[in-house]
Amino acid sequence: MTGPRPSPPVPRWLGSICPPVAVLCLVLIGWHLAVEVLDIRRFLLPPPGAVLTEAWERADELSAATGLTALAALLGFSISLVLGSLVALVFSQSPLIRRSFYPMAIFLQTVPIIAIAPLIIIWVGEGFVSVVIVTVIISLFPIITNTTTGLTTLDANLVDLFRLHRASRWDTLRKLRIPNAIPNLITGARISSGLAVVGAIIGEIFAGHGQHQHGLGYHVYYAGQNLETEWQFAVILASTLLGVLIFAGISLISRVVLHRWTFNLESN
Amino acid sequence: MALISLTDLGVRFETDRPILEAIDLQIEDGEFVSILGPSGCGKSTLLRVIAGLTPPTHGTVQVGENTRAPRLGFVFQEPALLPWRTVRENIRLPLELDRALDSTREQEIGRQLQRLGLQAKDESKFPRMLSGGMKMRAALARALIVHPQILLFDEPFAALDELLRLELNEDLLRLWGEKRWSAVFVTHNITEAIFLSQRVILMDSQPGRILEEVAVPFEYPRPESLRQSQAFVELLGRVASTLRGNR
Ligand SMILES: Nc1ncnc2c1ncn2[C@@H]1O[C@H](COP(=O)(O)OP(=O)(O)OP(=O)(O)O)[C@@H](O)[C@H]1O
Ligand SMILES: [Mg+2]
Repeated sequence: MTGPRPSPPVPRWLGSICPPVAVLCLVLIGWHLAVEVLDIRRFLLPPPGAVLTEAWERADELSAATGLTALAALLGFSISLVLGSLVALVFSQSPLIRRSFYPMAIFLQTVPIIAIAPLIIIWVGEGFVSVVIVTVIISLFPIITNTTTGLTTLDANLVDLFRLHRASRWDTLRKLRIPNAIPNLITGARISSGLAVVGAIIGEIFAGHGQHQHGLGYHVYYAGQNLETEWQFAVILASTLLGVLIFAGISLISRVVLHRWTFNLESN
Repeated sequence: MALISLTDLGVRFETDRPILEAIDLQIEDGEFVSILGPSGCGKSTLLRVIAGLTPPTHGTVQVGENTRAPRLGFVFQEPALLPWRTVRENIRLPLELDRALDSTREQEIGRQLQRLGLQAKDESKFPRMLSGGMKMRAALARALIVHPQILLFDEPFAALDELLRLELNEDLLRLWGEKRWSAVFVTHNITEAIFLSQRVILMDSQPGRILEEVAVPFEYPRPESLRQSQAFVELLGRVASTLRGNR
């Protein structure tokens, strides 16, 4: 039956936020009950209330650490975005270039970061720069692969149309390849944004930010060492929130700025 | 001299088996020619050779009457519109690529869309918002905006429903009557081939050769009712049996 569709009773953004929030609440309740009923010791698994209290009491420390990690993650992510797009542009220019340099890109993806982080510290020293470098290494690959795919996987008819008009390499790049790659770039950026937070935290575990400033990675590491489980959970919570925020930011930007493409993204 | 002239044309790809062989074909300025043939006989390849997209491996291809290449339009089976451009921006694309965009041509885009039955409000829509028929109309407008001397069609209406196909056939003939570009129209539909063209080329496959050229004697403008006339139906039967007899 097809009648006029009734307008949705709740706004769309509310509709998309409610389900995950509901699930989150359920998890928190389940967590709380599990701790109570099974009588789990606090240093193994603190109840959610205790984690929130800890986060509240050390809010200054927590927000400073989150800010610092956010800075490293965002900077690393931005560098990955620019660098990855440039590499993809070069890759798109010839299959030979792709074949020659792709193994290097895969090397980036597969190299155990834990093994090379000490090297980076030897070369660059401890501190912010090293953290950003680790972030870039971890978050670069999805941008390169996705964008390269978008730049090279073209509709054959469109390629013919451009050839028919003897379009220059430059025109083909800016009027066909680049716009075609935008949805892939966004997909790559979404994956990469999550990885950037992970990268920043791993970078901080190894390289830190010096004696007086501590990022989330530092706290996660030392809280673990000292069995400060409540604090550790608070820090994990903050890193998760950071990841979600960056991811949401990118989704928002992609929706607002790239409305010409986002329809295609949503449909798959 | 003919506008398009293919002499002893042959095409083979990596395999040894030739796709097209010994094709001799002349198409005059302003002529409407259709090409019919079984799937895989090389019709698309023939169009691509004329368009300069596929190089021939044998024989000669001469397109245009003097040394300057004529303006070409190509209409694909799919509308092949850029999904990130509005309808108007899609029509503008060939002018941009040809560096032919100025204010006169920009104004012409709107008129061109109107002639194809698209409304002013459709201009700012994205292709995904249009029906299949509307998309094909936009694709036709894009091919026509460059003032082509030659228009190449590769089964443009194959994906549309029958009524829409009839309607677009009539619209296409009206447009051709106004400007008289040369048309090479590949199709699987015998009615369409006969209704549109002055000459139908029947092709054979493996290797793709020209089997027969059938002249279509009906005067233009051709009324819808022509399709039901006895002469039309007889010609249709003859073409069908030639194609079938050779399978
Ligand atoms: N670039 C290519 N490389 C190798 N083989 C090709 C290439 N293009 C086409 N062919 C082959 O040439 C033959 C003819 O192809 P073509 O597309 O011209 O046929 P067609 O008559 O247009 O068929 P259809 O009616 O199905 O569209 C096919 O067997 C196809 O596989
Ligand atoms: Mg074909």
